[in-house]
Amino acid sequence: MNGAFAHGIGVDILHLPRLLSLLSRRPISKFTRRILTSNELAEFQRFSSTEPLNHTPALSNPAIRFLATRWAAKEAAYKASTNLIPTTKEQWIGWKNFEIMKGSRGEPLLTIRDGSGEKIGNGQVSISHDGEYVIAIAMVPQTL
Amino acid sequence: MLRTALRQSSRLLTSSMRPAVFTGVRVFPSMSVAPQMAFGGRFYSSGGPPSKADIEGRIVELLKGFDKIADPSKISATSHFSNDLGLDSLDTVEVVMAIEEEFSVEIPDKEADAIQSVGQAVDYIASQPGAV
Repeated sequence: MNGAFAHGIGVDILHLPRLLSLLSRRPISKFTRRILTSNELAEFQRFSSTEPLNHTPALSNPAIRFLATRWAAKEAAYKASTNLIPTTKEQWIGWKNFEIMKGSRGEPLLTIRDGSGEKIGNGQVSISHDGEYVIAIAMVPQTL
Repeated sequence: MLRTALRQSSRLLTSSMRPAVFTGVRVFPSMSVAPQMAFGGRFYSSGGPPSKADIEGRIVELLKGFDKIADPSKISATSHFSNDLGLDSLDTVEVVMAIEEEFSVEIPDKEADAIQSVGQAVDYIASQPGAV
């Protein structure tokens, strides 16, 4: 651990049109399979089946917003984990180490999982969006 | 030459079919599967697995298609995606997806996460017997 900090912090901002343009060039399923945990993937599929992408303009489409907020939150959590990752390296697989689901009051809950999907800890995350931008900030404990 | 032409036509077909992902009613399954099936997937199986030089050349070519890389002439075998080419994590995810498509392989999460440079991508693909 570096110094006296028990948590690392991280922030990320995403310009939605960037994500949209990526998804227009590559198969969405390939992207979601790489990024989302199985719980998140189930949630994404629920969104995209109740609100198909051609029914709602892309920027306000819930499925796209879901993906964008997951991306920003995972990236923020990753940045918050710089001291944590070396000690958990064998469990490190990338984006799926961080799962962001909604709590009962709509608040985002950050669960840290190992490579096999087992929960190994919790972090905190806060997300905000305005127009074409999504921003997320995360706190992750430096020891699990 | 034929190989290049085929690859280009495959790209055209792939990209012309992709908007269907957005215009179709369902997000899944991905339309990208279709062109691969239509072509049988393999155009260049006659020469055996690609050589390291071939892999490197194809990855450099593929990176030239990324608008974000300001100076494509700087792309080389030793280029690091973020330090040398200015790509961020979202770009890197896309680069790895593009490499999977180019060589018809599926790269597991852990290995994909470790690919941060042209050299690492070349080494990974060269180690895959299924890469074409």
